[in-house]
Amino acid sequence: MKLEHKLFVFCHFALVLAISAILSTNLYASSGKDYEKAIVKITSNLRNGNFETAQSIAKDLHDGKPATRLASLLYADLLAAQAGALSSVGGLASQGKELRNLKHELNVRWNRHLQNETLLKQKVPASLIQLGNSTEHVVYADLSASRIYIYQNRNGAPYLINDYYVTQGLKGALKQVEGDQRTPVGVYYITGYIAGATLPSRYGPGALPINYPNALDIELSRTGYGIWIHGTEPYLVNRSPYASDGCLSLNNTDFKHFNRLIQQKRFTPVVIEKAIDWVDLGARNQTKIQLRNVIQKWTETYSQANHKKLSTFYKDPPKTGTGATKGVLIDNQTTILNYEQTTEVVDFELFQYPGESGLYVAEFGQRNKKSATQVRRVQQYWKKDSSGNWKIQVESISPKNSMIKLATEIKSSNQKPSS
Amino acid sequence: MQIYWVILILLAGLSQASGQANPADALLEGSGIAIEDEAMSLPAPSISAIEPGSLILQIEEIELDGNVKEAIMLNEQLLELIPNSPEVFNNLARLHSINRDYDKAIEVLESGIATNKTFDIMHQNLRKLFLELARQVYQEALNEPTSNGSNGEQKDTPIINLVRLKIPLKESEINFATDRSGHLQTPITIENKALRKDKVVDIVIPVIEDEPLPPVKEIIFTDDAYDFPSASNDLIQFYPTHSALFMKSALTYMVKQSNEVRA
Repeated sequence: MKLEHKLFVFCHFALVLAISAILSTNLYASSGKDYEKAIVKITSNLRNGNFETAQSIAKDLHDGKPATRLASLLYADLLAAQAGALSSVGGLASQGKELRNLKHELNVRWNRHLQNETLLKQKVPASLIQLGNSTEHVVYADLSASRIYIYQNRNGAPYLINDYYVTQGLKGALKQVEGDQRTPVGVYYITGYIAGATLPSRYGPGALPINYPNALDIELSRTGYGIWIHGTEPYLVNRSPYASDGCLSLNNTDFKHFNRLIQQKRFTPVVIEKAIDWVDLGARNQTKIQLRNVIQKWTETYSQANHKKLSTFYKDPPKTGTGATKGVLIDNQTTILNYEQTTEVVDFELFQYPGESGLYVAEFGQRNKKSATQVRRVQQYWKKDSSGNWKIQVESISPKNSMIKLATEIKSSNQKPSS
Repeated sequence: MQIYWVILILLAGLSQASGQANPADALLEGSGIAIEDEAMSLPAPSISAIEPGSLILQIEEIELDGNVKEAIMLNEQLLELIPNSPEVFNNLARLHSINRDYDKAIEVLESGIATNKTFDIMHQNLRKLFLELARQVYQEALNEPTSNGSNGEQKDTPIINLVRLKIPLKESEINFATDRSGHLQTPITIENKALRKDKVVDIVIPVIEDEPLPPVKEIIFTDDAYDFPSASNDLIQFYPTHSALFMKSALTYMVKQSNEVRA
């Protein structure tokens, strides 16, 4: 009986503790998704005239932690309206960049709410043309919508599995030089994972660096480094839309979820675009077929070690010697001679390059037909010249090239007895 | 009111107890002595101490001493004594606002308005409170330092103005003190005055000028449509028709009340 009583008291105590813990945190903001739902709920209630409900949700968010700035703005508007002093969203706030940012956040979140979920799954970003076999997920960022989408590779086609609100650089898109506080636009790969414990708290639970500047960026003399996808300050539910030095910053729960989905996998492609261009899923892409054929011809010519014929695939006659990005693969004669055997294109991936009109980036493996092993992974930037012929603009060994080595390393390490 | 009865019953009990022995003797003895002791050091802590007039004086004095919490407590007592006075509601809300408990202040004003629909000042003050609260939340939303934040910026003048309450009391019981302007009268009980003679003379309650209200934005409404001359499209996008109606009701309510009183 006594024990039961103690147990009861303990349970009671635990319950009180649990309730007080719940009350002190923001139920509505337990994740970025829940927060967005709450913002949408406040706005819908406002639009439907349920002001008390709108105000009660907004107040709860405002009073709790982490800090929810957009909900606070809506709450302040509701208060101002009761004083009869509201003329626009944030009408009484000091007009400036911060308010514009919050209004933009309200806009993008509301627009996302207005999107039809079924339709969204039937559309894909036009730039994701073909996904390679080795790609499990693609991360796609639409900067104008402050949105990051995760697509799963289903037989080479992207299938939407999740999306999140995302913060970009203070000055917006199109990074050019180091310190310009812009987010790069282009096709990148995740290069690793850095645990949050080893980073300052403003990065949240962790960070996934990407390989900016890539071969094209270097060709175009773009500078800078350290572009990551990461979380946010622990006291904020999220940053406002333009608030990083060029990184993509997610809500902390969203980041963890995101990281789990892509399994923090190296070489996961990250396509960052200024504005999304939706096309129907499964729409026949003529460019894909053309480029697939041209690249197959390129690898065959390459195998023949015909320098003169190979040159015709490139924008300019490739320079000889080292150091030039253009035509690196044929600059080095020894490379050609080494792989004199017939090669074929495998694990072919193709993206329409964001921010560069008519440019496409292909990433693929060159496989030895006889031994059926990949000899190398290549990345090529293709564009049609004035007479309509596809030409390689920039070429490099793919960042994913180390994947082959990595695979062999893993194979050999597995054979060793574990210590 | 309750306290009044408690004391009366206690006094009645005491007088009875001193007359003859009864089983409650042991219980009452201790408290009886305590009351006598107190009565000797502080003369006349009696019924008059809970007269509204002296309570008001006490509240003002305590507030001047900076003890807002106690002033709130006494004002709540005062509200129990005179539950329908808009001035008391207003002043209680004022104290809460000084204490920066705007939610509570709004709550008090709203119940005050519910009892007294035509007391213009409460509507004005409610609006001021909403504006002040909105201002603070806007600052938080924009990540600017808030007035109660670390930058130490404090608003010295209270948002709500004090409304002096005039209560007719028996002339034999009261004296009147006038403030600097000479026309507002604070009732003071005779006993209370005797008790605090020197203090009463010294009390100078600051006359707070009515702050000009921020201008009301011109919002034009028609019966089935709405238009915001100065509004950007975003208001219409996010807070369409119904919200406009909401604002309309809030606004017209305020204006109507003000006109009624002024007329």
